[in-house]
Amino acid sequence: MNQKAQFNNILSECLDRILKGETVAQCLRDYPERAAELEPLLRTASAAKVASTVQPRPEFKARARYEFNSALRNMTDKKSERQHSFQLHWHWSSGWAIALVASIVILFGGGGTIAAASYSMPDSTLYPVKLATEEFQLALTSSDLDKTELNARFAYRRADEIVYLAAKGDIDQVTVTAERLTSNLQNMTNLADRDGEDGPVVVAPGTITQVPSPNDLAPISTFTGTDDPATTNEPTPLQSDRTSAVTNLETSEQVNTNRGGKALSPKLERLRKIISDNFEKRHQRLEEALKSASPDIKQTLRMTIEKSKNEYSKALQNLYNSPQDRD
Amino acid sequence: MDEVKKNNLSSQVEKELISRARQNDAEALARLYEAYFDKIYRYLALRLRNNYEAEDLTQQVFMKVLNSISSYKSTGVPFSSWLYRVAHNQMVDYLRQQNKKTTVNIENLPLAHTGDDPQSKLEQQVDIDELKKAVNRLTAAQQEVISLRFSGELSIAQCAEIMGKSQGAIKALQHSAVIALRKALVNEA
Repeated sequence: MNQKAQFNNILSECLDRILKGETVAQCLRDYPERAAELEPLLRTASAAKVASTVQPRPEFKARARYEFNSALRNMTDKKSERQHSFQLHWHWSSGWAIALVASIVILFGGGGTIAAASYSMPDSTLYPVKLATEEFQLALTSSDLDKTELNARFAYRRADEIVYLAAKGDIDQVTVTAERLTSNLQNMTNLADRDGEDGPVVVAPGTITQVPSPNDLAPISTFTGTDDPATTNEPTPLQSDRTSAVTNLETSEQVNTNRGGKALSPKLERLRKIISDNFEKRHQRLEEALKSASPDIKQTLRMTIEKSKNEYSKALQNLYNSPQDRD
Repeated sequence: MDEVKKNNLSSQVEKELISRARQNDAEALARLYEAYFDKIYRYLALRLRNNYEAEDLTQQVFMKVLNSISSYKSTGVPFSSWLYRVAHNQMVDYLRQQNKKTTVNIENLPLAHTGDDPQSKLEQQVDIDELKKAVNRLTAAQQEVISLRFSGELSIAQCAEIMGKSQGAIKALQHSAVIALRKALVNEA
């Protein structure tokens, strides 16, 4: 081994020791014949150890963790949806759609950007890409059923964003995002309604009334402007609201079947499940936000939850009123 | 410190987590994320001029990991090497896009004559900004080895895997990098 390689080995060993906490002097003691050459390098290494003390900002770490967990949830949701293997598919196969996707990829600098954007929050520079991608997905989807599913999924994303913004205390963005959530839900409801107008109602008439109406859901009291439990008309706990809503829905199906009425077609049943599951998950998220939100944000959150419940109920009513053989 | 201890995984535990993560197991992915997040951030922060860039890229790295973990093969390259490789590639792409990479040949810089003893300057605490400035004056390969060794606290063997060089080559590169870093720090001082 030549002198240079030998010295490189000694230097490496000493750097390892310094990184583990030994001092320059301890290393030099073991190599007195090389001390003159080693010392300046080891002192530099010792100074460079400051690099290992750098920590990310706590607020960045919290935001990053939140976004990563959202992405994880999203991934898990998609996985479980795939396991259902129902034929709700997007119409990606036609040539023009592929060309459009390609142009978006080029426009935004690549698929990685779009993937990263899909987990972004409203205060991120990538968020407009997320919204544009959603619009694009909707534009590429011809089936009302698939569009309804997409809107349900986007509504859940909005709820996730609201939770994040509420934790940040960003009232302006909470309000804007809550409006977007309502818009997603209204789209969902209108889509379910549109088909219902054209065709006959196939489900037995009695069963429609079993679908929970807005009034069936436990009311949420209006925020009074104070958080003092002694003076505030506390809202009904959302957990019980959610349970009652879902329980009512399950009961309506059972009654429907028991009375000999036609069950929903497999596709509509699948959609009903998506809407119900989405409703449940969305409310879990909003409930979390409500717990720790500031009073002004609480007010917005409660209004959002109320609208969400109403739209959920309307969407289900439309679903039960829809022709069974639609796309 | 407790958090660091908590997030340090034994190789057996890490192996199991990686195996589960490859099946998109959310808990395993979350634990690997916690174990490596700070390290990847540190690695990037030393190479990038401002911390916001390091933050953005750290997030992108983990989103990329989320999307590509199923394609990671546990045989061959260790997970940490694969992860740093992802971070490295992400950073190189970013720097290329930003066209921010400016390297001064530090070998040609004279030592500063400030009247102070340069060595005593290094005895004092060097702050991270000074170190970053100095590191930014090294060649790309020197920056890489300094980041991996001092921010990532990786061994020579790991650096060799990540950089695709022999251990001997990494040791030689490390030697030249520390000399260059010394010159840069003394000049900064």
